[in-house]
Amino acid sequence: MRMKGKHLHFGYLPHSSVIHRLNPLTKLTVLTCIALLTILFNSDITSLVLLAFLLLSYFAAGISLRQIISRLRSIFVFALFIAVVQLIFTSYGALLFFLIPPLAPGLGPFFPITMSGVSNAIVLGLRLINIVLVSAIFIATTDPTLFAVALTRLRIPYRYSFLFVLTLRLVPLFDQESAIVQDAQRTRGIPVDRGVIRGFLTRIRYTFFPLVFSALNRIDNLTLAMDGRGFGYAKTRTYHRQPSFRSVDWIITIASLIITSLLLWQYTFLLPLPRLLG
Amino acid sequence: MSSVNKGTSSSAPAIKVDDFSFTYGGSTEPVLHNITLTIQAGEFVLLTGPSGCGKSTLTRSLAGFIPHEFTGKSKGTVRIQGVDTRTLPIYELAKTISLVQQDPDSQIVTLNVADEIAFGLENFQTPQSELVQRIKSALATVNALKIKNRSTSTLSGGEKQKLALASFLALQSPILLLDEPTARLDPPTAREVISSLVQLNQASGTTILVVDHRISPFLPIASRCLLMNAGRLVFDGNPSQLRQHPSILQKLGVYLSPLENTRFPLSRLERDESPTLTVREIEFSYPTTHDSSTYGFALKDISFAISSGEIVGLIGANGSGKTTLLQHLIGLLSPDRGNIEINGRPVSGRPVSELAREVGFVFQNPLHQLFERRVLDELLLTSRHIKKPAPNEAETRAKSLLVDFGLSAFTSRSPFSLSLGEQRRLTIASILVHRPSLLLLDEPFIGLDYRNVNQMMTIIKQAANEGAAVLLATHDPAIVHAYCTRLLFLSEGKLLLDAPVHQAFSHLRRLGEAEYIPPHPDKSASFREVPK
Repeated sequence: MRMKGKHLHFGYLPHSSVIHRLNPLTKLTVLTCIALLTILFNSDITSLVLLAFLLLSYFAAGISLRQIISRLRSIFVFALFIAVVQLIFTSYGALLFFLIPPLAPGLGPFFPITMSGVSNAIVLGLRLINIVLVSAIFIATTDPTLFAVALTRLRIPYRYSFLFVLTLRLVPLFDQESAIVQDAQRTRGIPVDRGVIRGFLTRIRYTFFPLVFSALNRIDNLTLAMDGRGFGYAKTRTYHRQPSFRSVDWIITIASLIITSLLLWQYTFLLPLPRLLG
Repeated sequence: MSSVNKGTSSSAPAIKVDDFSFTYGGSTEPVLHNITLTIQAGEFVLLTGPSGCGKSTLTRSLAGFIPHEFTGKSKGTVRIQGVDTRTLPIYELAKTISLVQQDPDSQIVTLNVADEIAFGLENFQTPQSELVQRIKSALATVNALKIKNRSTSTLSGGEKQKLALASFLALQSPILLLDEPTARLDPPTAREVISSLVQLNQASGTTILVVDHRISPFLPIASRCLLMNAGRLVFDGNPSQLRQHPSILQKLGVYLSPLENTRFPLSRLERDESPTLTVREIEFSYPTTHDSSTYGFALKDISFAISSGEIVGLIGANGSGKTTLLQHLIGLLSPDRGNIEINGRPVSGRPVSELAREVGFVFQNPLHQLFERRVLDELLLTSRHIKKPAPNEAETRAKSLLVDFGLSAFTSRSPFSLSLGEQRRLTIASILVHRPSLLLLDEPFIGLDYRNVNQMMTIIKQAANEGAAVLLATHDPAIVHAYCTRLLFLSEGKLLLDAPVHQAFSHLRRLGEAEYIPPHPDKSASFREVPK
């Protein structure tokens, strides 16, 4: 039997927190800065500071971290796997202890755990986690419509920025449709609910065509519906909801730009940074 | 930006079609033949005709979708307020003429209700200061102010239809075309929508063209009726003239009132000791999530039985739980409490694909339930999987069903290349090959004319005579009246009524649900009280 209820929404979670009220462009700037720092810096301290900052943001946004983790469980498991591999296989640096003590004279010890290993585990594990967390909070706290409007401020034509809204509009539709199509398969006696592998293959065979046709049909209809209400009539549109750019947005944008530039400047010219590798 | 309004004299008719013909690309047969038509500003016109007669193609041509978005060959001209539609892109035409299409879901382009209504206005650069007021008043017109802050993905079917309508009303175009604006609405909601159209026509002088199969609600309010058949305009006059020729209408599959002389004998209505379907005290609720209010339909203490040979109509408002109930009967959902038995065996615990041996289910949208690349294979799909009946027998039966459903010409075509009406017939034919003992049909007739309905019901009736039990969910009381032996009425998840059709309508009147009673042929005047 199918689980009752709807799929978990993957996206914007309406709320009125401080973070939600920030201008989408402010959040985009912070997102870019954090992603840049995470990718460029191989410093465990930087990674931990960024993680702390992100956790604080989740708290401020009132978004349950548990919910995000349960949705993105596989990514977190993968990050953990990367961290463990680093921990075990980094053999240089100050030795802390051996994972497997000497078993017999001449056998072992194996798997030295070193300071560098711990550091690498933190840096590489958190690199993935920080980027996922920062993207997830951006998506969860940013109204897609306002984001599209904000993008037009960057002189991106509304035809392109609106694609973002349209995509998000289609996601739940496809979700619903694929659920209905799979229900319909079962009611027609197609054994998609019996046998793990066989069921899976049968399902793919009978899902592809209905979904593709239905999707093409939808896109055609949406295009008509948009043109039929004047999409493309003028070079610009008006908007009944506009994201505001308040002084707090200025402060955050400027602060994050300054911090990031300073760190990058230091990174480029003022070696050495704390534990900078490579 | 130039606008259609500029440079045209105010005396130009709202719509002027001159000797217009159209053939879709890839086809040789014209869908529209030499249509000539003038509609003056302020008229309220009803356009009707059998499925496939070209009504939708004509509305697309008026809105400029043809020739701009559909490839094909056209001849003649279409002028909107004096301007040839070929000379302006659709987004320019859209300022003058709005086309509300059939499927509301495919017309909603944004993520929440207010954004959706603002969408067109924003395209036309309506100042931000006006937008809030225009959004409110458009929603008020369709009596849907309470959905203003909802996300579009959580709306019910009826709410979506209201939203689609409101988003065009907000544009205040002088010409409004509506393709089956009430097909997905329950009667009370349909009445609200119709009266808001009347209001719009009278108060703002909007020119309105409604396309519908169900013409009786519109006859008292339309100032003019058009009838199409096989791509030609065959009647153009006032509604009273049309009423004088019911036989012409019937021949075209358009009915003023419920179908006559198609009632079946109620011989099998006695209480049955071993019914095909037994539902005992089932209860069901959707889990509470933060937006559960929109998924509020649940089932409360529902019990009934259906015997072999019965055709039972299931009616109720949008969101009353009809689809939820049907999904329980084939195990797609399982009740929180109570039990369901088919042919004496409980449904719970059996895989749906197993239950398919005994139960045939038709979903609302044909596109979701067509899987094969050839029409014939589509019919054979179930029998191949459940190994019943034997391949030879299945093929013989499939071919004879294709003949019965008028689909034999398409045996080797792709199901996806058929028209909507043909696809609907195909989905029903596809569940009949292995002779399931219970047929569940969820709104299978949306967008079909009564001639198609009649053809399909004749075969369903035959299946019932051969022993199938049928449960048919529909919004159309005329169909229940004409074809069903018994009626179930659901309201907010409760079964309020379970009675033979002839008694059921008088009970409904007593329950204050007169809208579910089909208009009597000679009393279609009773619809006069609808508007205003």
